[in-house]
Amino acid sequence: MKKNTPYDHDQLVTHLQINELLIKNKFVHCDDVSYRWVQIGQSQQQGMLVFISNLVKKDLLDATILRELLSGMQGDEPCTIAQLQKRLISASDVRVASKITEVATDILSGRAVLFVDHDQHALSIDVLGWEHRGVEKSENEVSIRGSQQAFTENLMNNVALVRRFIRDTRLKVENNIIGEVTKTPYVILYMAGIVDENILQQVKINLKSSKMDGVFDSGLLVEKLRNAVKTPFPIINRTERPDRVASLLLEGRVIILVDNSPVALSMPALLVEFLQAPEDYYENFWLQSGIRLLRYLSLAMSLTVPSLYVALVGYHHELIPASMMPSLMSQREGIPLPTMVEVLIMEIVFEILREAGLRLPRPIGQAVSIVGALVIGQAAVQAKLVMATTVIVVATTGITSFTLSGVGIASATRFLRFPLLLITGFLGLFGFTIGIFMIMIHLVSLRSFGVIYTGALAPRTWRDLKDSLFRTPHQNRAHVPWRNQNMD
Amino acid sequence: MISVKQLNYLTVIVIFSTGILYLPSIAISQAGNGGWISPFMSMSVGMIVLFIVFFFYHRFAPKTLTEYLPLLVGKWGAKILGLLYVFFFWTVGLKVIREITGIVRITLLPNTPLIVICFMIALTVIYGVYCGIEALARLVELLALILPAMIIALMAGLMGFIHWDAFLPLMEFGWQGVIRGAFMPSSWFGEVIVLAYLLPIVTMNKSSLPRFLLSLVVTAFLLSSLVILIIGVLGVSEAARIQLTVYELMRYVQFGAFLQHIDALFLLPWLMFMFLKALLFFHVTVIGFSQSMGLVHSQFTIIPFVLLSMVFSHWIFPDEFTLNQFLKIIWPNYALFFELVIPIVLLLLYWTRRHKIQSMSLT
Amino acid sequence: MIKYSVIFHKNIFNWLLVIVLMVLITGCWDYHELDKEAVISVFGYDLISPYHVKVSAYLETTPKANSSSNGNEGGMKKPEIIRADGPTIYEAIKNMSVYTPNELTFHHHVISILSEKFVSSPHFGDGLDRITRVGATRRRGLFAVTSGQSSDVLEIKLPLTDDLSEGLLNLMEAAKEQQYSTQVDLNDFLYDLTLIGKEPIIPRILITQSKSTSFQKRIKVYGSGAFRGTRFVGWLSGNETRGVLWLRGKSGHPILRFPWEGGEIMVQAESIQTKIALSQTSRASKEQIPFLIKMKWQGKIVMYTGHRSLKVQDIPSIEQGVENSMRPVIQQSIRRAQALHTDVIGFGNTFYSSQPSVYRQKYLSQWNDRYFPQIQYIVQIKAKILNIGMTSHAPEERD
Repeated sequence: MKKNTPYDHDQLVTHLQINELLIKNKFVHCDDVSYRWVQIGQSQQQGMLVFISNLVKKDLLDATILRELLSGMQGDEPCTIAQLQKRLISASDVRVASKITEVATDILSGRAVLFVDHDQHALSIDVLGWEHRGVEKSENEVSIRGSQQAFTENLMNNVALVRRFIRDTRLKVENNIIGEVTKTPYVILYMAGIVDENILQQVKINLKSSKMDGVFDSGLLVEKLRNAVKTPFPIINRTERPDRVASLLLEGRVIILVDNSPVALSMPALLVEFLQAPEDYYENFWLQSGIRLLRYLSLAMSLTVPSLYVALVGYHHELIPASMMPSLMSQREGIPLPTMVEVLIMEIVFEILREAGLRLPRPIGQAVSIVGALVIGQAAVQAKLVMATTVIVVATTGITSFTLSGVGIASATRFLRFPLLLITGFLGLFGFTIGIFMIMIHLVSLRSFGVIYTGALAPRTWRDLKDSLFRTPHQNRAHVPWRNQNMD
Repeated sequence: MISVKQLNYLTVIVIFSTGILYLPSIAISQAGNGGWISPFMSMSVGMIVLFIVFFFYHRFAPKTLTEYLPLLVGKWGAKILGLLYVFFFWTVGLKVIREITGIVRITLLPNTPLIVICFMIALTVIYGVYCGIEALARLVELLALILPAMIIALMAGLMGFIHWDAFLPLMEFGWQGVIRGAFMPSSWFGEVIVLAYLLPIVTMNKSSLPRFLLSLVVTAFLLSSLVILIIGVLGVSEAARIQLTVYELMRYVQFGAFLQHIDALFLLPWLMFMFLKALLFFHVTVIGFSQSMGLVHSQFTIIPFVLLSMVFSHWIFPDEFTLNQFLKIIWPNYALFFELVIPIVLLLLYWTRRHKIQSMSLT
Repeated sequence: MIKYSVIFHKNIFNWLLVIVLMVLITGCWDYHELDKEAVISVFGYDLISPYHVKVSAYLETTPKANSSSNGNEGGMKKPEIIRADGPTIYEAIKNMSVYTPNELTFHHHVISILSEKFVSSPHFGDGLDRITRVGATRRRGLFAVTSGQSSDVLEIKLPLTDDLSEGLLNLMEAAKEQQYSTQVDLNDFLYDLTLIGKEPIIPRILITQSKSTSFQKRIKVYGSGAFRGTRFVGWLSGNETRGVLWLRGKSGHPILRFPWEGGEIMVQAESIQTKIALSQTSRASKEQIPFLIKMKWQGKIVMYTGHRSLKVQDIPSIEQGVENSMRPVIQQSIRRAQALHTDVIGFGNTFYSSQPSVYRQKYLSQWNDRYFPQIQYIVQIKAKILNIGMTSHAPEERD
């Protein structure tokens, strides 16, 4: 020991008993921590193995550490940690630790830590093996064609899934830890050479500067990453599909994977990528271009249809085609509520049904949707509580919002629909114009990590349109839309 | 940064959006069925202004009009002239807000109090200015293609209803009438003077002038095609009689039996274009004001500017008729003074003192 | 100052939200429900005495609710007609809204039926100003004149349709195709009215009593009323209307019938192109102004009752027959217009187009009264048969 240096409270010492006390002092009232004493081989040297029995894989522990330790090395001199690491322990991921906090974190994250007498270092061995879900089919981002696997809660597994798509040394994986208390591991993935360094730095700074106690899902990081940009639009994309992550990486995005979260975050995000789906690239481009245009139409419709309906029925009757007038007028007869309130209530009821269907177990969820469709739709119309057209409008709005594959953008239109409905209800088409204008100018003023959010649409070139509005053949679109735009 | 393309679109929209309000009726009442030539004559005024703006831009590259005025007219003269320009741009913004209010009142909300409509427009403008000039430019780029689409839809819907005999005899009031019909609308083309404030924030090379000239030609062409539609469909004397000629045209469009009453399809983008114009002019007001007063944080000044313009627009134009008469008779003279006369005087000043100015700008 | 801007910057959304709500909660000034409206689709204007105008309105009615809840599709629509009168049109329409619980709206107005007496009075001119001055009127609104009471027309049920406006529209379309009458909307009328040297016409609606057992009234769109300015001056028969429409160059597919080679032949026009020009400009300052009318007729044979098999060399003589049967129609229509002292064809406009200043100085004021009734004209018709149909001759026994 170096006598000169002041005593460090975080440092392990050479006496095993004292080390044990230090560790036990850290883990007061932590009964799931196990302490296993062994005698190493023929020597009189004592060793102590500390681990959390539920997090480690017992077979592995027995085979790679305990058996080796018990058989020991030739000779009976006590051996050092370094020797043990080199010669005895047959585990692949092994590292030497000398700090108590470090050791504690290792134990908590499922490693076994070996202390031996006469050594101030400890050996941290990866024998991780808790119960977790296997790789399953993606439930929330279903696609007909292409890879079906989805991320799981296991971080390293997830990284491995991405690695399987990109076999290139330029794919960089940076491990980090976030959360003052939870100390959740997370990984920053990017393609060196393709990613924009400024964006990468900004992501790192945003994450470093965030002080959080606990991180349980990648969703919690989103608000930290957005850095106080107030907008209902998602400026960070998310996905649970490794193939999507791989393609985003190739387009120069920074990906963040968080432990215990099956959802990856991708940034910077552009408006257009929320309207893209994996099949777009795997299927015939003629059809998929049309379908993509359909998604743009759905986006516009899910935002505007209820408001336009209110504007026409409540304000500007002269704009209704003459052939539709009699039918609409007869429907309207005897309806108690004003059209605007009627649509608003129906929209709220629809949202309630949707939320109810989401939370309930699947069989009951279906029952709820049937009851909702029948009762709210059919019965309300027959009882002359709402107009049949209102039900059609609300249903159309709902269905159009389901077609949007990017979950984030659908939630934005879901939210914005209501203020737009209100302002149209108060001021007719003029209010509608104002609402749309404000939404649009807000949209074009957005930036995601310095990249213009509406890139490829608003600062546009013909080249950008090839993979935004349309999906042209692959050989035609070998460039990343937002990369040629100037950053400042 | 704004790109040259965005600014070109902006030029077209700025001139076109409010130009179609009064240009057709003024041009047709003065030039008869030769009114469709008038936009091209008015365009020449815009070109002169554009040449002057570019001339100064090449001399004092990264400076705006307010910033290079001291070199031409001295410190105090520059301050006064700069504030006068701020006032001018503010009045243009005011005028546009009042025009939108008027149109909305006539077409969409006949019973709603003017002040409510005006207030909502003011809010939109405040929010838009807050979002920044780059957002404005991008929105222009996003919406720009709707403009030709609108004209094409109008053409397609009305081509069968054009009475071609309305154009005979060619130019019934001769060239004199055409020129008389072109004088007043030229104030709209003169509005390209705002480029004196916008060019410094544009990424461009020195040869962008032809593209701006082209955008003026496109504007004149679009306006002219509208005038042709108006003369052909409504007739000369009807066109001169109707207040919102273009709106009447939009209401006449009908595709088949079902797609009738589709004026909202044209009205909505049109209103948005007018919003964009109001936004631009309030932006320039703020830029000009902050530059001549030397302010660093300038965005908040938009609130007093917009709210004041709301009050003044009601005070000056209590009703549509006053607005109409003011815009037809007084406005062109007032606007052309700022758009054409002052720039030409500045040009002469530069010419007489050019050696001195060159040495000043070098230091 | 800077602090103020920061506050604004941070709370922009809250600011906007509060202000918007403050303004908006106070009221929806233009909000009105669909069922609170009375949508007028057809107007009828009558003149009872010189200062007594009667206005009738045909309302767009809805299928009654109780019949539709039984599961029946729709239910019969009963026409609802409201009437009101007053010294002027404006007063009459105002009175009409006094008698109806719902708000009268004009935006889906399709057709105005004008009685002969009404259009002969100055009320029509005043009314035109009124309807163009209010914003609700669309220029698509059609016009029709009738010789009796226009309110009678509103009460007639058309076969096959419950909707009078739609039925009238279709009748006019059909008449326009045959060119015995035409279709004139507000815009066309105002265009003809304001164009120098041209007067408007408006299609005529006739009420016919069928002679059969069922004592039913029927509507027929046939002929037109000629106007001079906004005043009605006289009727044009179906054939005269045809002539006027041909001379105006309106599109349509009229059928002509004339005897030829021991049978009758019917031809249908595919296009008729007309060009009217001043025939000799040097003599234009004379009292009698000469015009040259050049017409180009193209069409097909739709019926032939004779027994000849049609051959290529027969075509010129059929074309000659077309020309011969068209010429009297044209001459008759011009004679009629001259007799009525109204230039519904637009000869004056042709003159004005080629010599604007001469026309303005000398002819403009007296065109209809002095110069138009004595114009000289030459009609040159060039007919061309494009198609003789699917067969060569009528079916007959083989020799």
